[in-house]
Amino acid sequence: MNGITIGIFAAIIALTLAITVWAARRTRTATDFYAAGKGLTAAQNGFALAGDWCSAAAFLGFTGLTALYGMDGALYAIGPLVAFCTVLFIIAEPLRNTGTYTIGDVILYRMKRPPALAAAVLGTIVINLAYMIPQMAGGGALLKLLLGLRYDVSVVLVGLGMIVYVAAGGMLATSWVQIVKAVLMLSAGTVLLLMVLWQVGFDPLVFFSADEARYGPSFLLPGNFLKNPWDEVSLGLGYVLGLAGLPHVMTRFYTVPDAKTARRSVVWVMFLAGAFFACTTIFGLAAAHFVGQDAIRAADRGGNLTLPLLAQYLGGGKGSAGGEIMLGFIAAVAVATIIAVVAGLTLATSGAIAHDLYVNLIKKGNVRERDQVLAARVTAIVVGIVATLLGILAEGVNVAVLVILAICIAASANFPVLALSLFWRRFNTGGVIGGMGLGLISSVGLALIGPAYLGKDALWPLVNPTVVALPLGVLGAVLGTLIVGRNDAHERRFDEVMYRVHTGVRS
Amino acid sequence: MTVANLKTEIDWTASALGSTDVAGLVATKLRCIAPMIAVYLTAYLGLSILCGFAKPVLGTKVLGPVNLGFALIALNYLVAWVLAVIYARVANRVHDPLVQTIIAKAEHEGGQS
Repeated sequence: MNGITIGIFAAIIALTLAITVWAARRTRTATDFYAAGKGLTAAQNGFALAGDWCSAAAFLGFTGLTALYGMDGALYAIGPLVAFCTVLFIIAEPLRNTGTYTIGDVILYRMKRPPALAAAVLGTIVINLAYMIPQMAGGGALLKLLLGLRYDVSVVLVGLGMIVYVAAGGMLATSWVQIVKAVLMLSAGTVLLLMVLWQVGFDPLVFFSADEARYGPSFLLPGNFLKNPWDEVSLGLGYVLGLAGLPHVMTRFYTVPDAKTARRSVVWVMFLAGAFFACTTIFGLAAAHFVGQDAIRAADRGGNLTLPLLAQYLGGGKGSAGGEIMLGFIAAVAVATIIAVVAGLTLATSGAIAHDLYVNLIKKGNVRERDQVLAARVTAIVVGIVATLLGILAEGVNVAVLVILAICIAASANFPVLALSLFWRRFNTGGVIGGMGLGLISSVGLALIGPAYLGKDALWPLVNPTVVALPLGVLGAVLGTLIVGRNDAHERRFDEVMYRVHTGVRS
Repeated sequence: MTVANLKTEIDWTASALGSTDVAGLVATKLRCIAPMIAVYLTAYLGLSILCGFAKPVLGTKVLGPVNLGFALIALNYLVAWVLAVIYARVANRVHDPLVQTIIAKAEHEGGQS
């Protein structure tokens, strides 16, 4: 696109590589690799969580949706914040107290059964891949646009970046890359907000009346993007419970020393990311007013370039030095965001494969520390290569729907199993398999026969099947538990589980 | 945590762990969390359902050009932030001291036996 973008982008990449070199020297044990030595502070983990959750799909996507479809975009933006209430109240502290590196740890500790662990690993891998492919494809498209590279070369560059961060620097590098990115993004957001508000004399209500006058009253109503009313409900349900089941968000709580710090880091992310998402709504409304929907659609039909275009306008417009610097900065941060988020996903996936599957399931824990780290690094590289290949194959396919699918599976399969493991005395291995199985099958099955894949020939009307898949996942968990039946020893052990879940003291 | 070392773990009895204290802690936590969960789920899922099935209602103007839908979205931001702060305060002042008491008691009894 231009020299400024390339320069800013190169500076960000150089900084993150320096962090990786620094982190690599400090990454020796499995705890270093998966959990950054459990040494992050609440603020650091809060910023890293904000980085994880503010993916490009979120900060470019929500702005675009609001600019093109009005209120539905604002609905997408509020979801993650409300979802962090679920994380804060019922997941973060028990998870930190109970597990070591992964969600699988919690399931294994509670059930002590290999099949239960295997089911948890399957859920994690499917969710992470479904989440990763759209990010890779988006990163490729964005780099192609910015640097004029070929799509496949762009995806390979994104993949290379994430493999280097994760394989060399583990969680420490991944966390600090996220922190740097979050700081850049929040600073950019603050500057943009001030510039936007400056234009209208600090009265954002102007955007509501101006957009309504220009695009008609329906612009400020729901249903422009999500046509089916049940899709609105599915979106709400999927968000509010699905976020609490996303593996790469969950593993963040293992990077802090204790449950209290985990709790404080959630409060941090709720204010950081929450405020940022509230801003995306204002940015969207402002872009519809200043840039206009026609210009936004002309740049990208999905509206993904809305925020860069708004930044360009605020900087002084196309061709002006200020405009090009602003555009370059936002675009470079967007690419850095994508690489950082896929790095987090790669790490969580390698945890599920190397730690849960290889060390705990196959080797029963009898692996030397050095070999555990080696296995983790090798797995990260393999996962990175697979994700890169899938990203290349995804060119031209509508992959955005995979994000919805990932969140739907997280809400329908992971969340019920995790919550019931922590809180239901009678919950057992049958329940884990039943919940994971039915949650996964119904999410994937309904998504495949829905409008996202079959278009007009869809056998099932909803894009997002959470409203049906979630009850099915819970049903599977309960039925599985009842079918396997009661086991006195297992239920007696729940006292010990509860002790650890709520105090963090380990035997 | 691994399958192997779990098998050799001591089978702690409920009384030694002070399980009644843990039950008390869980009850205390639930008294704080349950109403808060009810509040945010009602606020957020209520908004989602209204968006799906009561579009005209959400179009009612409540503050100049801002309609009820956007006002409810703003309310959800407020609800989430306020609940987070309340929860953090209660957890710091009530839950954490309870946890410390339980741990101290377990260590004391462990030392005696």
